[in-house]
Amino acid sequence: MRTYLALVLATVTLAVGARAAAAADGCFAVVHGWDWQREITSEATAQAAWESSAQGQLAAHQASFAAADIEVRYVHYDGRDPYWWDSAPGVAQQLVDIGGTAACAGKPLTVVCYSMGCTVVDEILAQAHPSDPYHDPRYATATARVLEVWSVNGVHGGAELANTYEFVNDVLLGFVNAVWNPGNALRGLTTGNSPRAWGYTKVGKPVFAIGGYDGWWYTDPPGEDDGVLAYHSQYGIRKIGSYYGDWRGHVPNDHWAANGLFYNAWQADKDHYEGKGGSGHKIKKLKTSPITGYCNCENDTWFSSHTNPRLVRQFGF
Amino acid sequence: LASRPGTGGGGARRRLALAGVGALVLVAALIVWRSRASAPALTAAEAAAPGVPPSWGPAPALHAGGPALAADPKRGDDDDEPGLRDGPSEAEIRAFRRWRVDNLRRAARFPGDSLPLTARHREALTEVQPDRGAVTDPGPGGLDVLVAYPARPFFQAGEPILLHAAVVHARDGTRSAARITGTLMKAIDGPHDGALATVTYRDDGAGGDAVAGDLLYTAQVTPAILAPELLVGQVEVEVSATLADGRERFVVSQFRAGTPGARLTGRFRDRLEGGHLILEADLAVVRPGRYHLQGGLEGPGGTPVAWAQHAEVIDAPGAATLSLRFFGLAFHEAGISGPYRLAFVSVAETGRRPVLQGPVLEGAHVTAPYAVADFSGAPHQDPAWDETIRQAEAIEGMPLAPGVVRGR
Repeated sequence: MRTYLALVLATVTLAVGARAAAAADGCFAVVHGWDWQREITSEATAQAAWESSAQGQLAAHQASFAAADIEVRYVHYDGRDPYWWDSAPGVAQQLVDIGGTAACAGKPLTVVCYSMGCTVVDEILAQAHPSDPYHDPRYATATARVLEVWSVNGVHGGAELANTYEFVNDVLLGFVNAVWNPGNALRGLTTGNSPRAWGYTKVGKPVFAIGGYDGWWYTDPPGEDDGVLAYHSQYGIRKIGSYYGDWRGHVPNDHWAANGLFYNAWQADKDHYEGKGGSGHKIKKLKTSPITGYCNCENDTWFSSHTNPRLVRQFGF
Repeated sequence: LASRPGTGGGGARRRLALAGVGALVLVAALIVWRSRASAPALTAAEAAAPGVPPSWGPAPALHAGGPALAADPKRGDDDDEPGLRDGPSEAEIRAFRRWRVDNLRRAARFPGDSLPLTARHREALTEVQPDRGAVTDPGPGGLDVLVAYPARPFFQAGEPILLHAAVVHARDGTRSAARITGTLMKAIDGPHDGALATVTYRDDGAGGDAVAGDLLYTAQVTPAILAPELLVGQVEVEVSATLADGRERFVVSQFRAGTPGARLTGRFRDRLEGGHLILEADLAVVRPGRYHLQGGLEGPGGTPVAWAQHAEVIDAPGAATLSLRFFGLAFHEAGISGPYRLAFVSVAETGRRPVLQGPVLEGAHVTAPYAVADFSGAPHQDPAWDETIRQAEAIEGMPLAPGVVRGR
């Protein structure tokens, strides 16, 4: 019986794999979020960071991607730094490099960012033109190479938690900062240092924001957040307000990117940690990639976590 | 061949296996049938609306007034929330793919240095967004947040700097009395290097505070308190408030201070070139550097028309000129003939984060009375965008993988 079953499953797997390989063709570049614990220095360490608490799901997930002929690459940067330090130029260069690999050349390159990684990506997309005030030539090359961005629990307008914890870190935890130094990245996550606050007005390629929402109390309005990040920040909406359920399409002129390329693509009623698929939580709505129509139906996570869950609950970028 | 345990032949086992496979096929067929039967079609509005991607299913029910915070402020972790579903239908995926191509084509029409003008372009220079703290203890009476913000997003060197703060209830917006102080820190590109000054926020109608007793507190930073040369760039204000019952609130706020090394003289010239409107702005430069100019044009009646920006290195002090190119297609899309009013314009010195932003001049120039027909209606040409669109078209032509849509 087991032999027959194995044969049947093998046949089905081969059939699915063969069809998927013929149907799907693209590259994903995954950009991680804040990581106060370590400097992520290579693609291998970035991947390991994603996998560290994925409970093995990522491996199966990658196998599914491979069957669908989707190349998944892991971008790395020092998640302890503000986005405008070396993070954005380094990520831009990696996107260019990934786009030029044999596996990805000529194929659509989709960026999937999480949390603070989305601020880094905003910086690249918003300053891609030589006339932009913070332009870096690497931003232009990277933006040209990207098809679109999928933002998951993205920090697009700063974080009110950072407004408070930046104070706490600097004033109350000064000694501790000298050891584990989370404060610099927090500085980059304050609302006053966000792209919105610095007057950014456009993104160079479409950004589809998937907001998390879990009704915690941290931000204002209370309950309009994913436990870490306000709903309006995840969607780049420039004004504080009650936006729950307002996830269809985009909000013309209400986004800090005024060129109409930022979209509220999806709303997942999941908290910030769950947004990247931590600890076996399911995110049904994120199963399907619009680039290929690929469905990760057997594995419930798109992303794995890389930080201490308890701390993510509290600081959670 | 010897039979191994558990793998020996037998009609019963074969029948059992075949029955199992048959059951699997039956279940799969039922899933296909049910999923197809439940797939809603796109609405006509969703399919037709430009600029709005097709949605993939019904929105979850709206919260009326937000979630309850009393016992368990965290909403359920249940994945089986009503209204959610596993994935889009085939029609929705195909509609999205079609929309993606059209959307990229729309976006590619304009260059990165000139776009149709929106309200955001002006607000990006003038708007103050309050920095709010987090709600740290959502118990009874615990929804007070400390909100702090500067009176303007940036101040020129030597200008009095007004800073506001209030403790606001996150639900009803009422303010509470508090003792509020702020510590000014220069803290953008390196470690915090100590406090520049400490200020006390007041609510007595003096020292820059507009209205006494309104619980909107104000602190004023003057050159007498802090020399302007110490206030250049992004300044962080660490604000702390102690409420009447002893509870404390914290927030970090920011403002920009300093004057760029070039200023607009107020002299502008306009002309047509290649179907676009060129606006030249004269500058007086005291410090070489990279300078960024941006401005917005409005038609008669204040109708938004076009925004443009330009950045250039100016390597010597003295007189200089920066030019904005307002893209011709924007005039066609607005459909309004001139004269056009330079609704706002401002120059900034780049090379630091954030930039040193100069004053925003409003209505500083009116162009010649150009007609829409004077401008080129041709879209921007960019091989990189062409390649992106080609890739999107390739995706559109791909067959859908199995398991993608409900029913497959």
